[in-house]
Amino acid sequence: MIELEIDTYTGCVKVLDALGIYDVGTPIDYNVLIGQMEGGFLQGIGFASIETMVYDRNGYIRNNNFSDYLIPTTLDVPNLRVLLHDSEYSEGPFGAKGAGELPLIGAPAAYLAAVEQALGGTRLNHVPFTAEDVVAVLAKEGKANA
Amino acid sequence: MPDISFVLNGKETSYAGSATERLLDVLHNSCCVAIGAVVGSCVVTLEGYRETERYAVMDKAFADVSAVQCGFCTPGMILAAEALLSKNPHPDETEIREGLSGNLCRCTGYNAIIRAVQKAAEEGNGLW
Repeated sequence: MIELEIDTYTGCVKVLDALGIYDVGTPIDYNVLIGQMEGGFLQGIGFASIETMVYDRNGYIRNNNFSDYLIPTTLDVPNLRVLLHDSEYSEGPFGAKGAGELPLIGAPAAYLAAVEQALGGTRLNHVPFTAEDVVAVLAKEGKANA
Repeated sequence: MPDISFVLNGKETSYAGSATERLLDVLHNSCCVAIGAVVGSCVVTLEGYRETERYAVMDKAFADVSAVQCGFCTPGMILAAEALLSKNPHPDETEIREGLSGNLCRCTGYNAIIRAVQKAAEEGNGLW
């Protein structure tokens, strides 16, 4: 679940709250698992909001480094929270489930759903949904504060 | 000299912050400082820092809260935390986040690293 605030002048999105609950079977190393979940969740929010990969027509990636492929920093989502649904999974070793990619999957959908709601219900169907995309939607609907 | 150096080469761009050293009490990205510019200066990398009492506290704090996952950002995070704590021994959460904002991490989501620095600041009370 993601709660956010949109600046209708700049299109900048501020994440106010982000809560992820994951079914991981039995957690084996609790701290590392929480770290993995928080990391994947933040990565998913990054994919959904700022991480634009640019290709040229020959298929080469044009982003050269971290100055033009931005990923979240410590300041981007300071209020990220993760809870685990701890229930033994009979098919897995020691009751555990694989938890590597799990947190990444739902995050972009949750982010986009929140942006969709904040923008008043216009159907949005691609990520990353950047500040420029937000401004484009606002401009189209005549809601831009510019 | 140790066999492995933790002054990682950040592809001469410095954006990831993994290649970090402290020079004259200021945090620098080592891949962006010409060797001629440091003649006569005091340069601390993770190898040198590892011998200090402060590092022992930091090491324990990072291990206790599992703030290390793949480990690539850890050398830079530890030196950035050292630079922060030496200026501000009791930072609040926002100050820690600002202090570490130049270093990128892809695994942890940063929360564990922030907690580790908070823990180091508490437990190393008086060291910084």
